[in-house]
Amino acid sequence: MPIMYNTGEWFKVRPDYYRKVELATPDWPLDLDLEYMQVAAAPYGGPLAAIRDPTKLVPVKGTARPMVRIFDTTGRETGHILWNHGKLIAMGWSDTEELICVQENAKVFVFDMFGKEKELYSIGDEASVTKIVEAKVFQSSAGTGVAVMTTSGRIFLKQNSSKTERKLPDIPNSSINCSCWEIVTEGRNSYCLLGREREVIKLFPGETVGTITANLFEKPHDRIIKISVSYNHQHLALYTNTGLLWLGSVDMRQKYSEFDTGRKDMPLQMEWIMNSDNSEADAVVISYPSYLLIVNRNADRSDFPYDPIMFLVAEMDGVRIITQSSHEMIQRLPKCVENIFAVNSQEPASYLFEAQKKFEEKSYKSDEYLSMCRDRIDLAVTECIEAASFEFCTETQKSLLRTANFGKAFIFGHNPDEYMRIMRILRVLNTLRHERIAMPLTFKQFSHLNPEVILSRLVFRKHYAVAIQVAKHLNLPESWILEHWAYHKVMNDPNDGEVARKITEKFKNPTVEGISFCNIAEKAHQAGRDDLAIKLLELEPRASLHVPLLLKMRKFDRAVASATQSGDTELVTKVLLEMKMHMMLSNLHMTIRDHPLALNMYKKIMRESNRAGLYGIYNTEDDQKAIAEYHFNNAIENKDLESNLSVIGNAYTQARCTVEAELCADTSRLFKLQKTLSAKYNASLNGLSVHDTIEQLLLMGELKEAEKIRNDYKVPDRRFWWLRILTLAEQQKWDELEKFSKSKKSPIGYEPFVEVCLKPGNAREARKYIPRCRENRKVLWFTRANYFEEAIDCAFEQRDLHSLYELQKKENIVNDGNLLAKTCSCISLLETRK
Amino acid sequence: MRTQNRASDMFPYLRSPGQRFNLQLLQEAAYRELVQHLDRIEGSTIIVLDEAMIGPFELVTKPKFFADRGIRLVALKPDLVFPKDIKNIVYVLRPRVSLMDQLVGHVKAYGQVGGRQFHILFAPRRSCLCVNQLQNKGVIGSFGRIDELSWSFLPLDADVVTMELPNAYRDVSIDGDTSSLYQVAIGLVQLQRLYGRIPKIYGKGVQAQRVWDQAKHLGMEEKSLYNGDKGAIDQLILLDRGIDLLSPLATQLTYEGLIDEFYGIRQNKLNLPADLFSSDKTAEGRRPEEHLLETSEKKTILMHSGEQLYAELRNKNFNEVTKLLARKAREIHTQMHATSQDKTVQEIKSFVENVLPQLMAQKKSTSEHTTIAGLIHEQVNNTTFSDDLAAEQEFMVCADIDKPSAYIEDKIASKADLRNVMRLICLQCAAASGLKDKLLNHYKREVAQVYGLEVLLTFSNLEMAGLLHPQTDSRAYAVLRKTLHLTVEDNVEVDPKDISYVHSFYAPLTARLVELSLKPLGWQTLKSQINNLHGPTFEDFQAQLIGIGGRNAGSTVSEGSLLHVPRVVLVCFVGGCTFAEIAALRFLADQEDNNVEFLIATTKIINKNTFLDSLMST
Repeated sequence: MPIMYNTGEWFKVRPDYYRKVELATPDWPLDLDLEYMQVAAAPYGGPLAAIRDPTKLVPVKGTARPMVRIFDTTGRETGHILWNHGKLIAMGWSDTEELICVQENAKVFVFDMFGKEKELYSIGDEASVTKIVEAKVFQSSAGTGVAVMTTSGRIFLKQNSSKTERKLPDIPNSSINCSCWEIVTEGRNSYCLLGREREVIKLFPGETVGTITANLFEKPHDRIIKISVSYNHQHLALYTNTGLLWLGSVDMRQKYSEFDTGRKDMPLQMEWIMNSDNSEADAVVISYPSYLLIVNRNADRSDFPYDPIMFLVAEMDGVRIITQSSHEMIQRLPKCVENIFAVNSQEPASYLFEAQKKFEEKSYKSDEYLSMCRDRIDLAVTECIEAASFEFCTETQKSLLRTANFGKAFIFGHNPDEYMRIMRILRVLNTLRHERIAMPLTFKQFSHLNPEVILSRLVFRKHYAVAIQVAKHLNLPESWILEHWAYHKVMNDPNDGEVARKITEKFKNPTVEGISFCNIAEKAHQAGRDDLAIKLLELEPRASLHVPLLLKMRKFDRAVASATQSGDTELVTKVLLEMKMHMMLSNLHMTIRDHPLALNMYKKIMRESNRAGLYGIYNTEDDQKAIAEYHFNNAIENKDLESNLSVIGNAYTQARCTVEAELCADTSRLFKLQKTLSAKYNASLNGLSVHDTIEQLLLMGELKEAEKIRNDYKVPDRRFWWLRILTLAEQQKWDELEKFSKSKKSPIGYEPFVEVCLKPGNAREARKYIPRCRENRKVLWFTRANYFEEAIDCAFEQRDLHSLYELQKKENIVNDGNLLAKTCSCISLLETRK
Repeated sequence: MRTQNRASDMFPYLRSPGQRFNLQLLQEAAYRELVQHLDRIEGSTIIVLDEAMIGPFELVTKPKFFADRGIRLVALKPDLVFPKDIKNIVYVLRPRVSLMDQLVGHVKAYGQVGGRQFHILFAPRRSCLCVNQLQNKGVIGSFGRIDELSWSFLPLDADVVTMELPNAYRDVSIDGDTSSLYQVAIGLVQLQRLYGRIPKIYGKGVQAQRVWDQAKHLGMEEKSLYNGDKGAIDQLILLDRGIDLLSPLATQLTYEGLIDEFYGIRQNKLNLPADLFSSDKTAEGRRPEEHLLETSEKKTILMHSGEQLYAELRNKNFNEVTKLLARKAREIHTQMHATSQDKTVQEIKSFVENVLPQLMAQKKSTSEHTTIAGLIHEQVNNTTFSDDLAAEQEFMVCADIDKPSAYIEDKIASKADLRNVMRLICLQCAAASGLKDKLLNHYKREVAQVYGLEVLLTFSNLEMAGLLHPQTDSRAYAVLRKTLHLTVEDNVEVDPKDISYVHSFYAPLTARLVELSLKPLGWQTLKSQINNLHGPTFEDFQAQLIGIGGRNAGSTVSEGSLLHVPRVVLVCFVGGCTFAEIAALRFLADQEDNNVEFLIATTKIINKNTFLDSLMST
């Protein structure tokens, strides 16, 4: 059994404890020997790139062509780049896990972690011409930058790929003998620190010349050979050829300590160890071949024998050490972990931990331990939860959480949110640390990156299933992950049907929200797979989304179909306008004729913009009635009905609108007749209707002509009588009217006679005709003619109580005492008879 | 937040006490959308309103809102003059291509001022045709924002929402332009967004079905709608205007219906010549602040449920109104004169301070309505009105329905108003469930010979609109008249017991359908009775989507258990409804047995005149 809870890996650098944590052991390919390699590793447990170190003698294996190989932290190769460009000077990783390779001619190549080239840019012409000797990839305020030093000793700095490069000031005096340099980012600016002999030179962009700081060391030395800046760009470490180490603030105003390592060999790397519970750094780790040294501000040290070759990766909360056979992390021991596991710890969390252990052993001692921490139990629980988050070993995590759970029970009203949150995140972290995923992140790194970034990194590594599970577990949206998965399928699976099937299968799950088939179809279209795109679009229920893409692909028939199906007229119009621009008119007609809504909308557009076009459609549709009306409307607009009548009539005939056609023919005849009549009687009859023509003739007294037209146009008796009556009344020919009424039995009864008389108020004339009206209308007409006496009599005769009641209410009767009395007596008579 | 509170406070009548849904929400939502658009525009602004948008604006905004923001409002005219210092000109338009020429003119005349920008808010949809037109004319560059103001249903009264689309029925039936149907679907989704998911849906008619299909489809994209509990609305009844073309053609006999038919009520307002009213109005007779834009010498009377007296009168049969008014006048009289009797000074003081202003207001509105009722009374007693009504009612009882109507023939012969003649022919057609070819041709010939050949186009429009059609075997109206008791014999106009009072003895089919569907198993029974009506009868359920918000699943039990709470039924008329139909529904809601509240949604409130005008125009 290992020493309890990994406390064996603890070591002390006074006054603090540090620890080494073992991460998943890498399993490098057999042909990879780190000893002969240059390695660049990305922080946050990211990938690492290796290339043969040209300065070392190597037994030649395989091709001599240099090759950059990319691995994940467990040693699985994710990609490689055959380097057939110029001389590679330096490599580094960006904060988005892209590999940045800087070439001698100041060209910068950017690759993704699978070795696919993504971008290429240059650090200016001057650097390109003079060639570069060294390059550094650094984190700037604007992303990941690149700095290069040219053969002439100039330093150029580019804060990210899109910003222009800046030339740093001259190095004062001479540029030779510069032994080391480093880039520091401070606020929005990045500057260079350069070690030359016993001085440190600061080159700040925009200043004309660098500032020199000398005499940092007390003890004698020849020159500074290594500079290291902490992860947070706050602290500086310098190392001299005599093995002296200087620790201080990055502005060099404050010196923490000076330390003599006593070693004469060249260090390989030097990195600050960031603290895990705050953003400070107390110690540096220095690697030598087969030897690792840790020195802190208090000039205390600790050392370990190690593998012959190792690479240090500075993280935000520690330093990772990658060797041929191991992968470890050195970090300062978090206070809470120390409180619990330190020997003889007097902290409540420690007692609680013991209490829980004893409780599990069913020992009475549990209570004793508990009583020792009872008063500060909430602190104990909090510390246990916190400590669990720092642990890599799942067993330790479990026992700490179990302790926290045990302790919780003794706190009244404890809020379990933090406990739940940590537990959730730990599960995710453990998954990420699994060798299949190979992203060994600490809790702090996880929180710093935030889950969305982690998810996108998982997606980028094509761990779709895990990503979805993680998203579900953390209650984050997951549909976009599926979308990425679908993109991947679209790009890589050649079988259309299969892809569409797989995608629908995954997408039909109702919990997947806000996912769009269109985005995927768009990708398919871009990849030149239109058939697949259409298959996918058919699955998208929202027409407003998939129609534009169909238009883009020029699939007009489908676009029309789905736009009309959606019922969205605006969308239909959009499709039609697009089609009009790209299609022959006849094709357009053929395409839309099966879609009534599209056809109607098209007609509407044409009606407003292009009437002639409308005619074209009617013709294609052979819609003769519409053609007739089209001509009709045009004729009315041009005020020229006469010459168009035959066209209109023909169209009506073809449309089997018999009455309409007949009426057109009649009108045409009438127009001719009107011309002769107008000439004959010197009147203007042109354009009048049959009815009006007759009326005019009657008013002129041309009864014969009127009769003739009446017969020709089959004007019914009723209407002719009406005309006669109306014209006679209009001309106030009351006698003739009376004569006319007696000429024949009226086909319209005698009420019209009453009506026309009453219109100009001639009640006396009206009176003559009322007796000849229908019985049940007499009362009404008497009343309307204001013959109330008669009305009452008549109503009484007819025993029409209802009318009498109505009459009783009439104002004229109410005001006339006699009439009212008469009405009342009639009513009472009738009422009694009932 | 405070401005929003104020916004809804200006429309107190949109919320009636005890009502389960609050239309102020809808007003606020619409107002907020407008404000959001205006907030994106910086600098001095003038709003140019399309004439068709003035109504919708008045429904959700007040002049004060714009005055507070320093925004001027003008109506869209070709020859507008914009002051030099105005930076932004915002057009609020219905998407009509014909308007674009005016915009082009404005841009060419006033676009040169430095920094000036034009903007368009299309309501309710951004029209690519219009934008296209501006592009073709080469002025699109002068336009900054071209957005849409997605106003669908706007609150008209505490229980009525309207889209203010007067041509909805015409566009669909004659031009085949179904934009308004899509807009209703959008409106239904918007209502559900505000008031929650509607669990039950019933509907009748082709277009109603279409609207529902689209609304359902649109709703599916909003999963959140289906996750929550059901909302404030329990049921939706979608009715296609096409299933009942008789009701909108018939003369309405309610107070409100008659006013609308004779004088036209626009957005709760009635404009009448000021000199008709007695002259006590001096200072506060007119209410100019109620107008977004100018008015001439007109008196404006507010017509909504916030006006106490009107709320009482509007839905009554006109014959009852005169009586009610007389009683009201007597009441006020006695109350006014109650003071003269012996009272302490204190009592008189409190009377003068508290009761009197109220009484004065009552007196004023009573006098106003007495004047209006007087005007209506004159019109109603006109002989043509009563003759028309008599003819109409003959049709309603299917008397001599298949023969040429002598009354119509006489009307034609005396060359009466064409619209009225066509209305009567359409009425006969509706009541007879179609006209025999011979009869229809007879009418065509008669009308064409009298009014000229052009009326053929009118006939054609009415045929396409389904108002005139060949006879079908089913005789739907004649059957339904019996089975659904559409005409009632012992009708009462005063204190009625049945909705038929709104047309004296005829109950609008739509309202009757709603009434019957309220009964237990109502819709199931109805389904078999109305299958002779054209178009599908459908029902649908929108259940809660299970799977995501699993937690809420338990709470659906409450749907059935709260029986004493009145149901809220949204009755949606696709293609417009009349005031008489609204009155009938309000009558139903007032019957306690029904235990129901209605929210009435329509594309526009129509009457026999406006309906026919929209159809007859070319």
